[in-house]
Amino acid sequence: MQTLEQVRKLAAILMDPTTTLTEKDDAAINLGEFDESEALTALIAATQSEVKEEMVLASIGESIAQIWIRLDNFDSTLFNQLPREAQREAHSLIQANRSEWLLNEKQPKMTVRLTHTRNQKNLVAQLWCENEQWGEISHKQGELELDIYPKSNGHPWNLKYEDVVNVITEAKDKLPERANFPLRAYYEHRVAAA
Amino acid sequence: MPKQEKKSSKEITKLTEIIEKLANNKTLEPEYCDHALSENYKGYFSFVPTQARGNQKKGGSIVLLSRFDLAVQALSKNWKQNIRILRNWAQSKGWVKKTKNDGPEVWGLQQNGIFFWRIKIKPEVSTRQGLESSSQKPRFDARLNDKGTYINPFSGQTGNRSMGTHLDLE
Repeated sequence: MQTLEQVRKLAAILMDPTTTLTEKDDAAINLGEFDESEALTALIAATQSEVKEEMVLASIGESIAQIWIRLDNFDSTLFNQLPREAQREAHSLIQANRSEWLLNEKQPKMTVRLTHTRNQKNLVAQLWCENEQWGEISHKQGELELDIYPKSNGHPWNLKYEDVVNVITEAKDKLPERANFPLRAYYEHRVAAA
Repeated sequence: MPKQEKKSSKEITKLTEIIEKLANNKTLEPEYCDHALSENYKGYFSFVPTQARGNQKKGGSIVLLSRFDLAVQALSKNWKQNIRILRNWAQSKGWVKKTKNDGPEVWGLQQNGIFFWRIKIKPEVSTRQGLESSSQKPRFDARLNDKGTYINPFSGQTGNRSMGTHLDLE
């Protein structure tokens, strides 16, 4: 009962707009020590309302992951709804302790999009994972080149090997051999071939 | 003592008195024009030193103090020395100070536009009910990575989060 009371007080500190940044951060760290479901609820509620400060969100994310790991109870739906700063911290801690939870996450869909570069000279194959581009294949000086982009949240890309190989093969097959093949001519060529 | 030096020493004594008052949550005399700040200066305190009052309209000489500065002013020599040690330790690791923050002083890594914290120095004490007793002292948190490895740089001891947070600055 006393524990529950303490959790409630910490939750109140986290949600109070007059609380200083230092107090909020301490409260977020302290809540990670509790196994009670109220602690997890308070942390999640804080990410959805009052708390906007990057430092506090990071502490909240770490606390949430700490509780999940300790209780061996991961919630992927909640994980995916966390604000970026909180998710980044939670991701790092889970990756280090229970990486299998992240592998079991729904595999994102990989797609290839053919498009012209800005100068409209070259046709390139963009490699997308859901709505984020992770690579681009193009012809440079007669050879195929693959550019790999960093993930927007700063974490490494965690993709299935088979999916990556398949999507690169698909992009290579779709991309015409000539470096400056005009897009219209390419489509006409594809239609004719079909 | 030369006249200029004497004047400067007097001003520093006055400034120290004002900072001590602010650090102890006391109200400043009206002539210092103490007032709340907002937006970019939220969390800072401002006042106009006596000798600058005539220049105020020209837009000069308003002293700005952050919550962090105020809290540090109230600390003993030992605590201030330990803050310096922590800063040097952070710099030796190649970490940088987070630029805009009206709370703790935060050091960490800046990668691809993302900041990963490593040290949080918290000189402000809090007596809020519910917080651990360690929050009632100047403290700091330190970690080596974002995978849950924390450290006490003074002892070299590493461990989990409960070992590396709310560490006593003394």
